Amino acid sequence: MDAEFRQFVTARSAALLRTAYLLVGDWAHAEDVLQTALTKTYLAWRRLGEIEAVEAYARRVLVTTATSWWRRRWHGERPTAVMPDRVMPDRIDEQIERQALWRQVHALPARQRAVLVLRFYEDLTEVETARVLGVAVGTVKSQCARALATLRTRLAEDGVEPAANHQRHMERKA
Amino acid sequence: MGLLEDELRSTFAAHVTAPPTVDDPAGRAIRSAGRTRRRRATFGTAAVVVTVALGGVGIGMLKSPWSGSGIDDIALPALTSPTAAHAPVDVLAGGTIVTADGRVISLPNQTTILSAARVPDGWLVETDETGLATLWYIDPAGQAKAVVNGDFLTISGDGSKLAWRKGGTVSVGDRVGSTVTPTAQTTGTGLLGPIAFAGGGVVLGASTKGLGYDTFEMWYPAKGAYKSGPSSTDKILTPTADGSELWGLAGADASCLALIKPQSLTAVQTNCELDVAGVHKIFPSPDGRWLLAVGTERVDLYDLATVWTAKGPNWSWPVAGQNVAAWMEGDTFVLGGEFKLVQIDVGETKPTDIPVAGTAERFLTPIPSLGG
Repeated sequence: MDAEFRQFVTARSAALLRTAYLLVGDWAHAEDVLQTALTKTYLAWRRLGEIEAVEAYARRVLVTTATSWWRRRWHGERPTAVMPDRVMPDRIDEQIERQALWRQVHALPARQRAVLVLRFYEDLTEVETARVLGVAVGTVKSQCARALATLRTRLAEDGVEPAANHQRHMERKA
Repeated sequence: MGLLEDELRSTFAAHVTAPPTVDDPAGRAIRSAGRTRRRRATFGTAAVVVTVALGGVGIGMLKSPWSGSGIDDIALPALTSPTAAHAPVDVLAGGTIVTADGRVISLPNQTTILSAARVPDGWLVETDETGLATLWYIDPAGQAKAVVNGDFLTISGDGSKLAWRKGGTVSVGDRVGSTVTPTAQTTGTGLLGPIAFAGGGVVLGASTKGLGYDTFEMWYPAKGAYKSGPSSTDKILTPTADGSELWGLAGADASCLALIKPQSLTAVQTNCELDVAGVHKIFPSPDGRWLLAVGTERVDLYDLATVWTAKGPNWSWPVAGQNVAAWMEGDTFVLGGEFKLVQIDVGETKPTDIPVAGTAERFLTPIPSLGG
């Protein structure tokens, strides 16, 4: 049992850690969330049996732990120790806009942020996202729409317009 | 796909390009799980009047990650029908207690709920926060207050006494509501922590070989500080119904049912003819007549009047995956299940499914009563 569990962790912990980071906003707390999720997954291992079920279980408990952790402990923005991307001279605007978007994502309610991470990082469908969060598909749709609307409003207030950034991408490609 | 969605994909991807290396996450999870399972077993050995046991191989008390998760769009079915069939006992359902009279009480927003027990003045709920157990008192109105926390925690059979270990100090105290008045403390127990009350003392257990307790000693708070005394490597599972002795498994491979005397921690009676190798929890009935032995594949019931000469159980039910049983009045007990409870009447060969009104949670666990 322990060998199988170690194999699962070796294969999946890095991916789960990335998701945890997107949900909670810094690596130290992401590691805590991952550890909690893995502990619960290990406890459940014998009941789950198949690796597919374990993967789904681990993801669910990770998201649940992250959202509840955030609700209890998150009180503000935390600095990132590692800049996420090298800033090239011609990408400074893009980098600034991306950081603004990152800040605004983490100002969203935990549930809405979880929906965005599952939909646009994990690339889950609305049905899959609903299953992970344990909510109705309609809730995923409404939470996602509300989150995107909030982001558009707040980015506009910050003077950031994703469409303009996208336009520059298209021009560079052309 | 809209532009903002594209930006979100890019932003998320850009922020996870350099994750740190985590040192042995599997090993840490396994060790943490061991602590959690031991605490569940600890809580389980506490009950005397009605016994609850937690952990072992099951995770019935592990809060389902997709239920009670704080995702507040999950609507509990309204308790609108006065004729709705309520469960015969209080039920732990995700992050709520569904009471026998149909009320739904939200529990403290913790990531893992290990156990719950009904006490005369409310409920006691044990939660886990990554290695630290917290005991909560829930008053009859549903308000929660933290009582104590520690890396070991156990409750007396009537719910009035607690023992816990924190920072190397083992304490015992009297509980009234959420208030605990410490009555004794000791240090120097090493790896040992309180796992049960029995025989006028506190049973201390330690895990030295892996998951589960494998070494036991006693501490008698009335006699002062802990002093190392007789120890046992028999597998102690729970106190007897009157709290005077202990049920356990003896023998090199824990294959013998044993009655263990706390004072010497030696088996005073054993029966090695019974198939108890897979038993991970024992629930004596409150009247001391029956012994329910829960294994990985089945639940066996023994008549205590004949158990020492028996060649097998009086009744056996192929019910797998259980780790909590609540004895009812009479010769009836209730097990947990998915979207239901399972009631078994002694003498009846077929369990009865009991739907629980008031919850849509998947994993339902009966909440035993202490001291009632």
